[in-house]
Amino acid sequence: MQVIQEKEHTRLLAEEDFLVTNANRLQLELIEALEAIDNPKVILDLTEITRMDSIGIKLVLGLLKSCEQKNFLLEVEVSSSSILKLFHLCKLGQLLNIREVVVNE
Amino acid sequence: MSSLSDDSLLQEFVAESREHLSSIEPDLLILEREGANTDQEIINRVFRAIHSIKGASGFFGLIALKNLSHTMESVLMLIRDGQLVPTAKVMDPLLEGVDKLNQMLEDIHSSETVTYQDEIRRLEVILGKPPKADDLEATDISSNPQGLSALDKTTIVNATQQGQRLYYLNVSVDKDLTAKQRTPLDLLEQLISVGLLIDSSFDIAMFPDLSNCLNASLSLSILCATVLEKDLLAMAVDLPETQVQEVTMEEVLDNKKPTWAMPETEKQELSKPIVQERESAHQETKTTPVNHSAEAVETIRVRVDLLNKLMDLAGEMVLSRNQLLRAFAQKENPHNGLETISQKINLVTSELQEHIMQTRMQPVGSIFGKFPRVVRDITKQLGKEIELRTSGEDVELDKSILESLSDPLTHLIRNCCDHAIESPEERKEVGKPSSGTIFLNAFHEGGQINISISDDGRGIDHARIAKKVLENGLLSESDLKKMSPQEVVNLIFLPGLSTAEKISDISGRGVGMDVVKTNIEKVGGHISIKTQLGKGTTILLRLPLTLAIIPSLIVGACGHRFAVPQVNLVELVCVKAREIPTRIEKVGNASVLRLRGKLLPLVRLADVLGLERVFFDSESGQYHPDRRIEIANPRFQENTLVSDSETLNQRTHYSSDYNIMVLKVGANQYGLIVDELFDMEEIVVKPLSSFIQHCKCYAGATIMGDGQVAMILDAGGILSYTKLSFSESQAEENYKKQLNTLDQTTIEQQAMLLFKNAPDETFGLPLSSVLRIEKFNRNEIEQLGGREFLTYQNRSIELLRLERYLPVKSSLNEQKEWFLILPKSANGRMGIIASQIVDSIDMQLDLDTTVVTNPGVIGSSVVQGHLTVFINPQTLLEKHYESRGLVHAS
Repeated sequence: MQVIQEKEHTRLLAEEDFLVTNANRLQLELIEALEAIDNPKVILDLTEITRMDSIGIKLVLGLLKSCEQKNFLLEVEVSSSSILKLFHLCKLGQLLNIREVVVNE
Repeated sequence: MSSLSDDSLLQEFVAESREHLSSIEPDLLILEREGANTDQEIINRVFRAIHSIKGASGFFGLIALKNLSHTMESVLMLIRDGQLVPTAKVMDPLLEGVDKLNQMLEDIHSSETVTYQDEIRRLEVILGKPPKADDLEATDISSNPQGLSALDKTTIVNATQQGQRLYYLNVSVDKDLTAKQRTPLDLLEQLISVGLLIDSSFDIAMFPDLSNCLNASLSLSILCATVLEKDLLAMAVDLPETQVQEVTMEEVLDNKKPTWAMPETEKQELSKPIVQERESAHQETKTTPVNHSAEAVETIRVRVDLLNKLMDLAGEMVLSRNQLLRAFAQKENPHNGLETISQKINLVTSELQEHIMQTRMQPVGSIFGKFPRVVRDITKQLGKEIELRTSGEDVELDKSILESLSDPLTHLIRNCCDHAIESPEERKEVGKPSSGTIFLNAFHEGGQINISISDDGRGIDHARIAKKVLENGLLSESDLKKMSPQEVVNLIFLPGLSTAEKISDISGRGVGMDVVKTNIEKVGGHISIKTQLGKGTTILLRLPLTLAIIPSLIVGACGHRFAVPQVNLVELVCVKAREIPTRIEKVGNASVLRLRGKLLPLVRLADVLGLERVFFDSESGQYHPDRRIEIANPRFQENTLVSDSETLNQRTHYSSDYNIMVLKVGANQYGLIVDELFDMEEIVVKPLSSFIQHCKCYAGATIMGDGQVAMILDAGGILSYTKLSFSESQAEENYKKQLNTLDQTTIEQQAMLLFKNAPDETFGLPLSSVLRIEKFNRNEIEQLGGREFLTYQNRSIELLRLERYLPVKSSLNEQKEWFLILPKSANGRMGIIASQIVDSIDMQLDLDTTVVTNPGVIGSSVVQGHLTVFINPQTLLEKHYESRGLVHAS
């Protein structure tokens, strides 16, 4: 997980899929990153990953709860069509700001 | 249950959306026409369709589709609520929106690259708000705030009205997903495949923050609609029944959610850390097989390739059934009971085939629906007034035929609008209502589907077509002169012919009608035109119901077997060998059969296919070469060494009979001569290999009951290959005229035998009435009681002299060799004496019945410069018998 401080927000760039197999590590990295952030807007950048299972969703929702506690605004950026579809079908858009990002390859 | 891939879901969405769009286009036109008086149901239907597209495109993240359909939906909402009257000004942007959505759906993966801002701006003008640039470019795909939106409520009401049930599902993320190694997406896709996902939400009120989130329980609540019973739905999505609860529409609309009792076992399981247990869960999980009870659903989407495969298999089964039946038919004592089983298989196979065929049938209304829009747009463009009336939308056709019909029909409708229907001013001048009408009608007739496109326009001017054909150098003037007006009109199917003075966007490039004809003929159909100048034109398309399995007559030629589709077959005619000279005639270079007063051109299948002609001699059980040169005059080739008597015998032997299949191609009919006729059979059409696809005489191939391959003959292909000319109607008229002007005794064109009695008197009689002609010596005549006899082949033949019954000169002269003409009716017992055989000629006689009027004389005519008296041998024989006090018994 890369933490990129940008002018108006902090970007948390996920470099591996949000799956049960690496959930513990991701959890620790996210907690660590969040503690270092003082920017009120956080972008969870999922544009480099393509898979997310139910534990991955728990991580996203846990991050949302943590951001709410810190009064941070959380926005999620997605490129993968399957993750996008997952978010749509679960209507996560009702809880989070989700942005589709087209990545030119 | 395996989940569907992303792409297949997307393709399903595209197919559904296309269906929605094709169904709303006619409805939008009704809205435009009816205005404020439009039935509310039509408005709701359009609204629901656009809403479905919007909802689904949102799910797939198709922003362009979603944005455009969303704006269209806003306009439709105003119409639905009575705040906006649907006029042409309102409909134009909506129809443009439909076009744009169609364009996006054409290549769904590139849908985001389609520009749609102009369409949105025009729609927003109607909505009365200036377009906001941000909205258009935004990629924010966040959904509505929590709770059911108004549109979700519409979906709920709609689903309930359609008989679907509403269910809340409570999904435990850990137990129902993680433990079963399923992602939420797997579950939701399973659900979408059996029902409609209306709403879903995670319950995160008590969900902890990052530090405790992994092992915390999380549940997903789903609201869906489906026709499945509760147990089947639970099975389909692999959830315990306790987590599926049916609710009423009212409960949902009142936002009453069920309370879920969590089983103790689940509570215990949930207390364990999920993530650490991942490996063990992987091993222990039992995936319950999910049964998509197909019988529980009323309709399901089936992939066309799957249907095609089923169709192929049904075809194979029909072939195997045929083989089985043939095997049983050949076996004299089949094993007890096996015959019954075979009959059962026969019945079941027929039924199976019939039902599988039905799965491919679709109503023609699905393509008729797009024409009101076509006509509307052209009408606006050309400033004409045209009304399109359709009927027979329920008539069903095979999907593949229907698909290939779409383009030709569109072309014909556009042609009608552009060429046929006059401008309002022009119409008023000729006393027609200013608005033209195009009738599009589908109906069943004779096992085929007919689609007619009629208009009340200006009709087709054959003189104008002839002029264009000449200008374009497609035919010569002499060719055109030989043609009837109808044949000239049919020239519009020639490639490169357009009668339009100006080339427009709509038509006039002359690449249309020949393509239309080719496309229709490609699917085994036929196109014909009837036109009346100033009154209108009707174009009739005749199409087979299906292309896959067709009833056909199996025929044989030259030892090969062929299948002839029943739809082309009118009747079978057997012309006995002895009748050939009287029934088959030669007109120009073509042989024709006179069938109930009509002239039917004849072709031999063997000649068409370039096969060596043979006939089957049942006595020897062998095939022998058929040496007949012409159909009408079955004389043998000159260098063939056959004796006279052998020739005569062969000509009258039953193996020389002609089996003629009368085939129809559109309005034309012709006779195809084959050697043998077998059974009617249902054959499975197999496409031709690319090597022989260019052979236009074949429509395909099939496998017979004995495993042999038989080619399927293409009646239209054979017709065009043989270049038969159909001036049948003209010939018919001539024939009728001839009948009117001549006496009943008139002899039509046929082979005549000319002979002499006295040297300067010529007589004639139809060759068909002659059994044979013998030469004899005067010395051989024997006298008995004033009667003359000749012994021939140990048989006594009585001689008949013409001068005894007709006022003609005596044949008594000194010549030694005389001729004996044996009429068929005398049965070889009596013959007419002739001093000289002059000729045997094919001729059409104009008989004069006033010059010579004796009984036994048909009439007279001038033949080859001489007055010739035509006799009726039958009457003469009767007179002879009467004079002898005998009764003619033949």
